[in-house]
Amino acid sequence: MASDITSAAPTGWRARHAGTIRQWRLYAHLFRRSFSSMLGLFLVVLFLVLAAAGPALAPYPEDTMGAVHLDNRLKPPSLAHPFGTDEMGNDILSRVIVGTRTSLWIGLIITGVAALIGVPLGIFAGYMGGRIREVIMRITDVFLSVPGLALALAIVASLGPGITNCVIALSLVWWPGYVRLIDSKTLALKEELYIEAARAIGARTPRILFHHILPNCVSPLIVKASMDMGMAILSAASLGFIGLGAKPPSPEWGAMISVARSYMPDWWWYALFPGLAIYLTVLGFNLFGDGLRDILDPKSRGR
Amino acid sequence: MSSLLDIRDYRLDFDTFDGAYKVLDGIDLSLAEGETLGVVGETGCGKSVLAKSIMGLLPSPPARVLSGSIMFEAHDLLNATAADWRAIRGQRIAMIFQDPMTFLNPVLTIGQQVCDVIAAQQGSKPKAARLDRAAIRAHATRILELVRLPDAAELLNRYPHQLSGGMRQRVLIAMALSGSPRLLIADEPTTALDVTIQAQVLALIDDLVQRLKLAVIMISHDLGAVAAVCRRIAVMYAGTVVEDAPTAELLAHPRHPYTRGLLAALPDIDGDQATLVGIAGSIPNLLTPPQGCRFHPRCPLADGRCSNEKPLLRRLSEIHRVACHHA
Amino acid sequence: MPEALLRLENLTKHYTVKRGSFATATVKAVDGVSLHVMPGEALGIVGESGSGKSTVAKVLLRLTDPTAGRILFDGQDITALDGDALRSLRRDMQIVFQNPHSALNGRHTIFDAIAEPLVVQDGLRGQPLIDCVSRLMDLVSLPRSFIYRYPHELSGGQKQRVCIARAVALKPRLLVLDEPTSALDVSVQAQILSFLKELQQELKLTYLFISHNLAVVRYLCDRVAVMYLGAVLEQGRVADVFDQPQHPYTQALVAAIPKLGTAAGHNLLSGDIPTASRMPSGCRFHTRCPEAAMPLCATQSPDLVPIYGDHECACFARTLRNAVPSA
Repeated sequence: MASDITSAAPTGWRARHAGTIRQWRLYAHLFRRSFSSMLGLFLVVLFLVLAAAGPALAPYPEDTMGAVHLDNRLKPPSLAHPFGTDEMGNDILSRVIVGTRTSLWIGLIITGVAALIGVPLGIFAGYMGGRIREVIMRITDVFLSVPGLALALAIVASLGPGITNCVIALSLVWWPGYVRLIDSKTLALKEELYIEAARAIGARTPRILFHHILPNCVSPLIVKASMDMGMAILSAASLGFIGLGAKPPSPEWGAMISVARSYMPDWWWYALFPGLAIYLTVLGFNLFGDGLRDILDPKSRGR
Repeated sequence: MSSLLDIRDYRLDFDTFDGAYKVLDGIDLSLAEGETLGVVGETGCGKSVLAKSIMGLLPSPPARVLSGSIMFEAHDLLNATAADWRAIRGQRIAMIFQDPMTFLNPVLTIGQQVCDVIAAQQGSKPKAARLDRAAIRAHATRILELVRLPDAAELLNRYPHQLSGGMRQRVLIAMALSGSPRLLIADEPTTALDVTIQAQVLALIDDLVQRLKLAVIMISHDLGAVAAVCRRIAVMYAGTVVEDAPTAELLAHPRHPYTRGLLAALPDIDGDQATLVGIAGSIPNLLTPPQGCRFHPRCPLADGRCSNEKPLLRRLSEIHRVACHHA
Repeated sequence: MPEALLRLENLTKHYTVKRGSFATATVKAVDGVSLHVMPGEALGIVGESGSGKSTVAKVLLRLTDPTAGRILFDGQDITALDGDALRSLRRDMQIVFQNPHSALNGRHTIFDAIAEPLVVQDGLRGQPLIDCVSRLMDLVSLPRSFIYRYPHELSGGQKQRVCIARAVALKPRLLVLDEPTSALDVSVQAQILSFLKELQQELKLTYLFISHNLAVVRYLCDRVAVMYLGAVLEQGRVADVFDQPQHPYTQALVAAIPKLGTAAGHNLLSGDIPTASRMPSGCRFHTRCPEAAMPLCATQSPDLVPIYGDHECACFARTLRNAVPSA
């Protein structure tokens, strides 16, 4: 029937992955077409580069570790200090650059821990259904019914302020969104015929969960995680701003604005540049996540 | 014989990321007033694209017309303006689709939807000829009776989910006929229905054709369903019309190897069949369609000429056209 | 009489569905079905949508639990099997689904799909697994070059071949085919059907073939059971049932098929199929029965009564007529 029945299986890497390569090229093509996606990508890459090479790029690395130059206090932006200096005479540009790494860690840990808690719970709830799902989802609802930041505040207050406690607190309130997302995705996926086909073959539940359902949840997960990176950074900065996160000498954006607050509006640059850094990072991750959703979710794609 | 619809050398590409899909390759078809034409072909042969072209429903891009013309009455459909289309769609040409449920809005009653369609048609009429609300409702009842739906007046107050699949398809046929079109395009009208319901809908279409002297283009992959309604059948393969003849002639004397293959592939309810012969191979990728005759890689008769020279749709007789070097 | 490979005794599956906030309704998807399949034979189950034919398949494969009744596989009662016993039973009974597009996980390659049963049941890995998958691809005539492709790169017929390869990988004794060709084109359907016929002989398989297409059942099956609203109305050898249908419903089904060369299929039935949640009283078919139903038909449900040989029919009128010596 098929004329090329004798043709051998492809051997080369390119030949074996021809379909995947085409898929990635299509993704790249679709992503490039959108200006906002590319802007998001640019901002995210810039953020990652600054985070990776932070101390090496900062013009005055010692200023980020609590140096004091009282002769240089609150200088407006100039060639020597493009973002100006703060009340200790430290270079704000250096502090903003080095703060990038802190923010990246905060974002990664919060979204990572949230996904690690939320995904297994969600997939379990969605697939098992019945009473197990009821219990998991109601606990999730309890967490969702209290504003996340307020709950995090309470946790930090009981653990004591500090950047570690702030990350722990935010991680603990961040997971319910992932449970909701993965639960609804799993509910839809388990009705798929290929899941029934896997059951008909005698596949055990773990195999169905991790081999069939989880890989099909990856796209929405990536989209949500990339958007949450921005939101998590913003939340951590908020806690820093009200004095529950990082403590002032350490170069954390929220904490910097918190101090800068009392120098507004005359020394505007002190609050402006850390604020701009937060703004651009959150914007970047949101645009990037939107762009990913447009290419990964076939329903929102025009093709 | 005056023709109602005339398609000449119609060529269409679909531009995608992978390149241009050569979807339609030189379609030549015409349809007379009151004639019933079945367009038969398998997945990807371009029959639905052709139907959408006639209705002006193809978004461009990705669709790109390369050549040809589609003339309907005095209108050049490929160059029709939005205003032209408002006067043509629903009132000169109407269309029904495969899945009746997806074309009815579940939150509106049947009456609201049928009346909306009729009201929309009033815009292109002279002021004096327009119907008022009561007249529209009366007209809606009348067309539901036309498709032999019982209790038409009562039905107007019901919601789509309260109707069965067969009744929904009747409602859609009624909506299509509300503007008294001259041409009805039916795209797989019975594919989603059960056999006993399919028989009812086919009988209804047949009955409407007789009563309203309606021209019909019925598109289907089911030769049996098409043969039940249409006097003439055009067989399409990979974007070309390969054979065009009256139904009885086509079934009795198929000349194109693809048509013969299709007929041989149909299992028969009467009598025992020892073997069932499929057509070897699968449909070509229209990104890089085969050179020459598009059917030649699957054709038992293919020779060197078939792979180089595209066979034209030529007349074997007054009524029978075929595109094959060997017919 | 040799032992049946599969025997269903009074199999029943009821679903409870919510109607609004408080009310519930019982859907009798399968309502007391008794069937048997002998080793090496092909039994067809035909019926329209809502007849419960696919539910029978799901229940007998233990993909969902029956409400009542027994399932005997090779003499063993498997109705209450669970855990590892159920998992190893799956070696012996496999299923091919209607829609190959959704029966394959889009993120798995063809290799992953065909290998899955071998991995799950035999724990095969490495080179033996690759060899085994390659042999299965040869068996279903899939080019080996497809091994690392994804389902969306294959045609419908090729995908269905992948599903068949998956289903026969463990050398099952019973293969349930749930409308395996209804999503495919006729030329591809013919390929798959003749291939299934060869495969049955080659692997000595027993088929339970579910379809709404009578002609396909006639081609592939030895015996057939006609289902309507969850019950079997008639069963027997295909030639008997289709050439001399006894039940008015079977007669209507056979007549409704549009036949090539004749006019539209005869429509013997009016009205729509009732839903399984609003089951008519008495004989479930009496609301649409063209034979003037007796008062009995509206109150009592007829049982299957032998007519001749193993041809059975559940109709009071028919039984009465056969009981009275020809007047």
